[in-house]
Amino acid sequence: MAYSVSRTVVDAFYEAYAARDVAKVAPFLHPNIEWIVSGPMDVLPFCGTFRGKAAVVDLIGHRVPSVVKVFGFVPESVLVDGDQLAMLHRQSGRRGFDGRVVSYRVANFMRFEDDKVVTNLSLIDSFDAVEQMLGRPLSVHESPALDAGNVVAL
Amino acid sequence: MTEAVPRSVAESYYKAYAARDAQTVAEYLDDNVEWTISGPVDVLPFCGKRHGKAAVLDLIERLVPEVITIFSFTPEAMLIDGDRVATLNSLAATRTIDGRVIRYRLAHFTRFRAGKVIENVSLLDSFDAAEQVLGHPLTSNTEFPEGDRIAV
Repeated sequence: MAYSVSRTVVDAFYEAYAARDVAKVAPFLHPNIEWIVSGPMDVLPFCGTFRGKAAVVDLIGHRVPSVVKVFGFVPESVLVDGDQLAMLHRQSGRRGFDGRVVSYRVANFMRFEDDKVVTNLSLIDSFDAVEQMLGRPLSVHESPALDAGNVVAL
Repeated sequence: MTEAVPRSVAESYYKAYAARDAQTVAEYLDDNVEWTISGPVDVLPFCGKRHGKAAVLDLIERLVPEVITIFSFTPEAMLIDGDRVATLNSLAATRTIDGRVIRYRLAHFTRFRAGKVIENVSLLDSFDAAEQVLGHPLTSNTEFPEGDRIAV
């Protein structure tokens, strides 16, 4: 029979994760976990692929808080189906270096194995997140730099 | 108590949605459906909030194809829980203006009532999608102000 994660396990994990309580999150992480946060790594250094429990603990415990200190985690949808968990929530935090408040939506798609998270994919509204982290709107209409030799004569 | 959406209904709806079959999708949309796509409206004009069946069909049939022509919509995950459905998908499309191929992941969180979609929230890696639709990187103007460096 196929494994299904129980609501009890999901609720306990979710409570620890929403509180950013690394000590309580860690027991729910599979040793071979793969954790992906989709987004531009040069602006949001917590984006990228993280493999192994230690890397994910470091991400939640140090890497994310060095950029944004999360204080709000408001769930909009939490779904459990078989071995999978999907969450949509609004995350609020303060920029690590100046305390400015940022808030953006995050979606998580997780898969459990033996009551532990073995994969996670986080999607964030990264354009919105980058603008808030930079503290100004992105200029999208500027022309890219011309390559040498591509001279434009007016 | 909320009414659970049958798996057969959720799967039929998403099959039609993935195929951009607006006629079939229409059968699953509540007249008062609320539809939100998170992202920068000035770069990705199909982002934003829409209310009502007609507005959502206009989005699927006209607004999205004006920007991108979707040729592949591959589901990676589908969860059904009560009246809610969540899907994670890989989308591949060509920019309508020049045929350039773009790809990004897209999540949908959908709520059903009486077998119809009453609410949808779509989330995508909007920075990545914007760069691909623009056709140039945004990194040249993402420098933090002097003194605002983030140390990791």
